[in-house]
Amino acid sequence: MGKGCPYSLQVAEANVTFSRQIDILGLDGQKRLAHSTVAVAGVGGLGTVVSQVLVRAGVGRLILIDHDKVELSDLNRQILYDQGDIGKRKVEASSRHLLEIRQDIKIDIFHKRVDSTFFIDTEVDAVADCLDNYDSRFFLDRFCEERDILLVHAGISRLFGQVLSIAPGSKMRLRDVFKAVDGKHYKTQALCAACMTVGAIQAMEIINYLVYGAKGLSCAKSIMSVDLSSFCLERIPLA
Amino acid sequence: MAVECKIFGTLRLASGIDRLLLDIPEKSVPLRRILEELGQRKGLDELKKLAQNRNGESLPFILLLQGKNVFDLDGLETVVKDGQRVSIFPPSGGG
Repeated sequence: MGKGCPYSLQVAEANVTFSRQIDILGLDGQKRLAHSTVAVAGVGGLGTVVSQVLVRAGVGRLILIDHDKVELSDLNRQILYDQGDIGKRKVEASSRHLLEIRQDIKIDIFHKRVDSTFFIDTEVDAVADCLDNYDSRFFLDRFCEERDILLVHAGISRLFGQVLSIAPGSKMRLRDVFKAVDGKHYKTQALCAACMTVGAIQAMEIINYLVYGAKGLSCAKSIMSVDLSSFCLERIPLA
Repeated sequence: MAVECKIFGTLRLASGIDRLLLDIPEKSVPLRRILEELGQRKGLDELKKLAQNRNGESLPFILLLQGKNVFDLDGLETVVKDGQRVSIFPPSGGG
């Protein structure tokens, strides 16, 4: 981990910020997070949760990617934004709010779409797919495949969501699992509670990978289906 | 033959069905036939429409046979046999 991360955490045991989690992750785990870089593609309902959880967990560097601006209709579920952010670029608003949580984190922002030209010239340890359309998700999948990076996909709709990890080197790709799905933009209904639940699982999957490696992944080889209408978490096995 | 059908997401909410064991007289049938059978249940009528899809069209559901996307197999013509499991999953696309 931490191939391209310029940031290094000061002596972790002395860092009060992480004193209430250091027994869970261990000093080594906390250091691995501090030396890790995660790209969050899409800073909407899921991405605002994922990025905030990662910052609070102690990830050293974040790359935020989104082409959109904050709208009033985002405030029901996109937890990083408030009234003062309306009309502002999401990557800039989210970066500002995340830096209010931890000033020592390094954040790079890209105000752009994820399309066929998508490229970021930065070493990345893991990518969170928090996008809102499958065309872009499949471009992100190709990017991760070419760079041999973990992709943790999540999607949300109404009271439902799913999480799926595509480990580095995996032959099964996101575009295989979701083949034949309509790739267009989803302007879905979604409750904040669903975004927070699914986003938290997505973020935890990334944290487990950064701390424990591929053996820490829980959502590879099966889709984790999240159903908030019945509080049901269920695996859908993949072959 | 018996085919286990697992239903997820909005389809489960609409139908109240999470798992169904379909008993079909034939020894094997195309997936399209399974969808027609399921589509007769209350709340699963979308599957009846889905059964009329031509292969190659985009779909609102992920269809897995034994954990494999049927579009890596023969689409709706994929042969389903005794003891196999079909999972029908509306993917959540929003972020």
